[in-house]
Amino acid sequence: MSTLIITEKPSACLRIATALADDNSLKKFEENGVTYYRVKHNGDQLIVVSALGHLYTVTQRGEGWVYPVFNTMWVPSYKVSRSARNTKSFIEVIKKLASEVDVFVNACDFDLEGSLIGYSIIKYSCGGEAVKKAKRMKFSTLTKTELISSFEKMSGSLDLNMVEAGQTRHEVDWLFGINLSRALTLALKNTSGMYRALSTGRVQGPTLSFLYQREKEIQSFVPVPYWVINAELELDGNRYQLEYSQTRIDVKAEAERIVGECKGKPTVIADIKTTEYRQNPPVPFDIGSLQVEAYKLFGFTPRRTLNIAERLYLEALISYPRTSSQKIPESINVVEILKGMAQQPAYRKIAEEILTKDRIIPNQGEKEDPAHPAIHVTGNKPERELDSDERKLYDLIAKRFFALFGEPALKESVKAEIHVGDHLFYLKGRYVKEPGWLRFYEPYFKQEDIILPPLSIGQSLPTPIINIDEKYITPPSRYNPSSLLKLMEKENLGTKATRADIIETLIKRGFVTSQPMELTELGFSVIDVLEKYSPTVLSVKLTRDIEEDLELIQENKKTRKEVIVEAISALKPILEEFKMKEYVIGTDLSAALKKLWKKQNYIGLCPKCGSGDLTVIYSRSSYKRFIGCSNYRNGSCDASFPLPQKGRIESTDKKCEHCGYPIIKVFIPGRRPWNMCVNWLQCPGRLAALNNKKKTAAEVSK
Amino acid sequence: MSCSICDNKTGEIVFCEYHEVAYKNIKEAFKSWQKAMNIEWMEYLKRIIEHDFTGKWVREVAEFLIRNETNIS
Repeated sequence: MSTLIITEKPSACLRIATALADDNSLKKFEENGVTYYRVKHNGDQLIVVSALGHLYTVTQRGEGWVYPVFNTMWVPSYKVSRSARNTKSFIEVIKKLASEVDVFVNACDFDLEGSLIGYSIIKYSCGGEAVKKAKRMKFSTLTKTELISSFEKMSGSLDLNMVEAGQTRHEVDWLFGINLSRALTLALKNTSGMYRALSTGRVQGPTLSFLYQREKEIQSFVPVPYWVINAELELDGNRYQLEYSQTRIDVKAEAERIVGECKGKPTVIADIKTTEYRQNPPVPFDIGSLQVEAYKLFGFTPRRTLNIAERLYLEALISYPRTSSQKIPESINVVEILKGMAQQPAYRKIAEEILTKDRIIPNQGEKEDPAHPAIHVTGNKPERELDSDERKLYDLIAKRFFALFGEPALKESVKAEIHVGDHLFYLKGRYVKEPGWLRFYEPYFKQEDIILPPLSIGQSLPTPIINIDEKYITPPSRYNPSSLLKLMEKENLGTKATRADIIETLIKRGFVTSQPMELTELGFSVIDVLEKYSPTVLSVKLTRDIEEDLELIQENKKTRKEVIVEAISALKPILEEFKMKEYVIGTDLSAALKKLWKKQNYIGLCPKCGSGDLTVIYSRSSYKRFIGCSNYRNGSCDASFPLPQKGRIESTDKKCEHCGYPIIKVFIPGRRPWNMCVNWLQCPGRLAALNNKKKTAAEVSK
Repeated sequence: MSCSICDNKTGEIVFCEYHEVAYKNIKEAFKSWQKAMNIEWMEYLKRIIEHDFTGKWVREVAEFLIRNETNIS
């Protein structure tokens, strides 16, 4: 009997083939750039071949760039997207190999996407009957032991509920994304003749709406003053900060009165409270908490963390990262993992210390994921030198894993109540008495100890120096990729697998800047239009309901057809309204875009004529861009300046110190942005710099 | 009508939706500023224009109010 095993990515393919191969039975083949392996496993012939992510995708049935479109079908990805053209050879090779085998195995990642990738390949590339003869391998790590066990215990059929949910997600997202994006783009095109790809989607809309609400709060924020009273006390040669009992005082005169009343008054300790408390070990990482921690510690965006984690997973160093579980189930042999980690010099000491404990039980979190455990190291040693990012993330995951086995940390806090005249101040101290798990999580846990000198009730203290600080209420902070991801998770928007991509899309579309995430004028325009004419698209409820429906499909409580019908009924009135108001929407969008383009292309006042505006212009004959004066049209000014043809140009509001012409900033991917004077051909500053350069070069050559 | 600051459509009021909210916030916050430090309207506007925490729309409205010597209504 021979079996075809389909994996999601080439690197997983090699790992699975190697794990299942009997001694020396692994043979590598290559056809049209597609690598596959033939191996013997307990005497049976296995062919292990890889996909390249999704080989099939949703598209519209019928022709035309129109909306609404509700009829969809699944086709090879290469027929729809030019960027997927390299998937064609994978389909051809898999089709050929399918004719040699009797059994099919989906060994893609065990999640909605993996289930769907394997299913669609088996269904569309391996023949109609193949699905009936297909099995599912389920694993959370790519270690040899787990892969063999997964192969031997694999289920006798595909996980069709997950497949259904996966198909539904793709179809619903396609319906929302394509229809709404076309509605926006066509409203603009049909009204003004302008073309610009505008997009929104089921998750993208509500996420953008969060950023919009926050930006509105920030831009309309008025700071209000308040005052804080601080005191500094010197004891045994050390200085300590005292906090006034009222943390914020809203009236300046009152703050001044308090300080006046404290002047020269006796300072006495009225009470001392000491509290001991235990801080439990952290819970295991799910993907969200790993992304948040990696952003906090290393500044990695959620997408970057996910990419690195996936690489570590494919190297069998960590478990499957797209998990929402915070639990390490008993079935995972933590002792073996710790023994494995003890083989790595960097972790030997900690791992061996944990192994000497009587009870080796990890701390667990609340969240569960039926498909995968929390993210943990596998105990395998890296087979190659990890790059700096991989090393950082691996170390973080390893240290978090160790921390799960630590004792609670014992901390002590001291709060002394100090009377200065009739006013109450606090002197606070804190320190770690027993570090417990904190030692295992170093250097990722930081807390500065404040150790107080011996104090006693009734003790007189030197008079503190008292100050008033003027402060202001601060506006809410802008979201960063990590805090936005946290919010999406809280609001149940998107999934652990898609959130990072949605955030990247918002940045890529130019709706928000990357860090901090500030809504751009384009973002404002799109959301203004959606809020005015189609607020449902921005509603969290709509998309959250669909997420819940997808979960119900997985639990076999709802069908794909029901969810699609519901999605279409939600979408239909939105699109009808869009169509009805197309002219108004298009007019609003084009006005906003014209304003945006004008602003983007405006460089500054023309220094030559003193009255025209310098703007970026695209030549109708050569399509090249340059800077020209608006007075050219009436014949009164012919100022024009050449520009780099690649990259983005931004005005800076700065003037050249040599010639007084505007300075622009040039952004070219892969290069550091630089400032340049628009008059660079004639600018005396540049000419002097060039001469200097020539002189230096001549001197060097002498 | 269009907004006196940004040319966006406004309906019957002087400012667009965004600048109108900023204007309301300026008037509301003035009460707290007055209570806190007994400050005059124009001095208050100058102070908020200079402050780093002030939102862009608020700054634009405050500049407009100073330019037009508008008193609090």
